[in-house]
Amino acid sequence: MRSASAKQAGLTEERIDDGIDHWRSSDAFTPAEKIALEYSELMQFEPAKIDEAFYERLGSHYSEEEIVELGAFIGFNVGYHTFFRTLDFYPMFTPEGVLVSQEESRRIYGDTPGSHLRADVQDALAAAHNHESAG
Amino acid sequence: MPNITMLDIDELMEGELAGFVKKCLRHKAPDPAFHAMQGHNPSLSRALYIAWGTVFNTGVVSHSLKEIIRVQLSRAAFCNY
Repeated sequence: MRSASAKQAGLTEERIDDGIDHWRSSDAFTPAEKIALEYSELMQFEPAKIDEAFYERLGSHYSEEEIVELGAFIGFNVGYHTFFRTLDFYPMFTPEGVLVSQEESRRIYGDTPGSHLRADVQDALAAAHNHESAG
Repeated sequence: MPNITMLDIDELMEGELAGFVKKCLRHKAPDPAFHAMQGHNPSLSRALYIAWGTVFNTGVVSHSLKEIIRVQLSRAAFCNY
């Protein structure tokens, strides 16, 4: 489930997927947004590459106040998602924000995390809606 | 099955984390599982929610950009959260 405020501000699943999978080549992101996504990706996978030169590039798009905020947010989430993954639970919310059991959530999200727009997630959501209507 | 007990949302709504769980239900992020897992240590869950929520929901960087980053890192860690 996505942040209600971000959705209200117009953030779509398509933009999220684009930002994750195609930010380098996408025209939908500004240079400042692209370097923030690169910062996040490097923090997760190759933190040693975040060096003085990288911070210089980052500093050409963001103030130090913004850099601290971005870095803290990314650091929090690298840790959280790693920890939560090891706990092996599913979201309590469906992609539409409805509270469901762990069994139902697993049916919807499947075994491999990925886009909410992918066919198996959409099919599972449709099946859940049909089951609800029939009930 | 989760590797530690997942607390019941209705029970959490009656305890000291009620206000924080309601915020999860209203804002849709983080997922209420944040407290269903960490609520075993309520004071820690509360403190972590406040810290995480401050950097996610306030500040000077675009909230939508932070939401993309949140999902990016979730998928990178193979977490559906």
